[in-house]
Amino acid sequence: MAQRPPDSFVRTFSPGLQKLLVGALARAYHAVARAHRLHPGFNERTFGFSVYEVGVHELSSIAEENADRLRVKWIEQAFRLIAGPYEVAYHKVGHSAHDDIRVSFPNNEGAVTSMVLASYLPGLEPDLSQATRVVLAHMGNPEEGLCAAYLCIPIGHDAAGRINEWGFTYEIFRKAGDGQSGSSESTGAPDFPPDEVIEQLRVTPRKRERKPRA
Amino acid sequence: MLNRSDIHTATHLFRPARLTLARELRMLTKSDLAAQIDKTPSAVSQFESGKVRPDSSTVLRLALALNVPPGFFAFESRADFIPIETCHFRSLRSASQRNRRKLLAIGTHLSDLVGLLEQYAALPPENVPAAADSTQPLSDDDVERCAADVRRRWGLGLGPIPNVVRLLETRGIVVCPIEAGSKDVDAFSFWHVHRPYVFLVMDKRSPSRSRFDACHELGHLAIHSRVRPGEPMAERQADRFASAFLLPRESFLRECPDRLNWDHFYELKRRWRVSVAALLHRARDLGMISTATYRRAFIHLNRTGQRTHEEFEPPEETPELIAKAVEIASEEIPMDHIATDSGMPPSTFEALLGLIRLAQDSFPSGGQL
Repeated sequence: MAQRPPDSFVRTFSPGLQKLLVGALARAYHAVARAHRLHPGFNERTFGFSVYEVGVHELSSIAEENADRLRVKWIEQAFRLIAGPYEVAYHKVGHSAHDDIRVSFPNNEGAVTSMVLASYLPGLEPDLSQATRVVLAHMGNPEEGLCAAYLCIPIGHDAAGRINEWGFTYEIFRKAGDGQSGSSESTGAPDFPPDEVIEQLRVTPRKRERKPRA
Repeated sequence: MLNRSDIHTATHLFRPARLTLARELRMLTKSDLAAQIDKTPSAVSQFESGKVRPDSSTVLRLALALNVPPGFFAFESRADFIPIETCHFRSLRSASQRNRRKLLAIGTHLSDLVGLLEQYAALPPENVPAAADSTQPLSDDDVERCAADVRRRWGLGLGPIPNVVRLLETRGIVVCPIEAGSKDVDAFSFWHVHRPYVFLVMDKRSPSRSRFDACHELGHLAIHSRVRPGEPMAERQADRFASAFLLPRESFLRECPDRLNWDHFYELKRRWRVSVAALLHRARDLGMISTATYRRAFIHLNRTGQRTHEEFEPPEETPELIAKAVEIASEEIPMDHIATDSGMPPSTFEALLGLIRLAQDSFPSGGQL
């Protein structure tokens, strides 16, 4: 579905915030993938579970460090980030960068029903400006780590409560085919931070406050 | 300061603390000094405590023994002597008492010089955030947050810091080089008369290590203003602070390999200007490499001699603040008046200025502090 994101979405999910979110996800995948290599008893199921738990920790950390634009909210037992007017859920929706986000959805029965745009009627164009809930959808596996991440506005769910339709998807990260992250222009992957700018040292004559020599 | 020949006035205005300062600057014990002036150690103690005032012939002998003009003993310092218990010394346990006291004597003189220079030059105001309530024990996560907090309050992002020394000086920290020959002290720091000071060994062979030391001292200034110096825990926390300040967790985790890939680590060294040893330490602290891998890496560094001489060192960073302030002051008063008014022994003034002004070229070999 080719929709423009609402203005508030663009303002809220600035490139800086996208980098923070991707950084947190990448760290979570990295940490869990490393742990997974240590024991054959780990499997795809424990991987997904662990990524969720470690991701909650990482996302909570960036919320704490960026309290001016992010905060954590627990709704019953569901983790949410609050960014501007948006409530952001966080779900794994696939295994590789080749998965199609348009048909990739969280596998949680009922847990995300409340995220779906309530005013949307199937068959009609959704009014995304009414959306206040966003899913931070990610894909990855123990071998490659984080492969892709998207910000999605859900608009439909099935009888079991699973999201089954996105009104809008926005790619914020995709691992390039050669295993290296591409540039942000081509793939949405974050750039590494540049050198900080250190201003010149300023030492100036002090004329008025000078004391006379004894 | 009085003229060199004003010996009677110097005797009349004799200040005991100045004798202690000169003796410690020359790294003499009371017994050493007593032997040189033909007095007993207890007599020197009494001169230093103010119980007894030395006569003019003794003042002359003291001046000769300590290589200071007699007027040195009558100089009224702008700053009090820096108590050793207020200073954070890196490598405290191995540092000799005499060396530490000498360095503190230099620190006291430097503080006096800064007091003088501030009459002529406006230095950057002190801006070191108190990043922690240092009466509470800090966890590793607390220290990480403190380092991130200082970065944020200083308007820094998550990227590499190209010049740590300049960064500190722009925030009002006086940075002073220590002679590279100092074997048992890498760095030390203290607050004095509302201004923070950091002394660093500027080892030309390892600028990355000097950068780390500078951030270690920044950690003490920011989180340990009320912690007793020398506590092993405080030293570990300052190391953690330096790691987190130079290599912010958020960005470093994305760039750090989780396997021992030397090319990758040297690539990171060139980008972040942090030694490979410190990068490995950070990688282990953040769980990117295991302790076994970390040990294996250090065995390799030791075997290949890179523990002491790493490749791809960043450019050396040199302090500018004092040199600029002296330059401004010297437009108002002659340089020899600055030397006199700073209250330092002339040889110390020349050597200190030599270290500060010529750090980028070479350390003076003739002048002795």
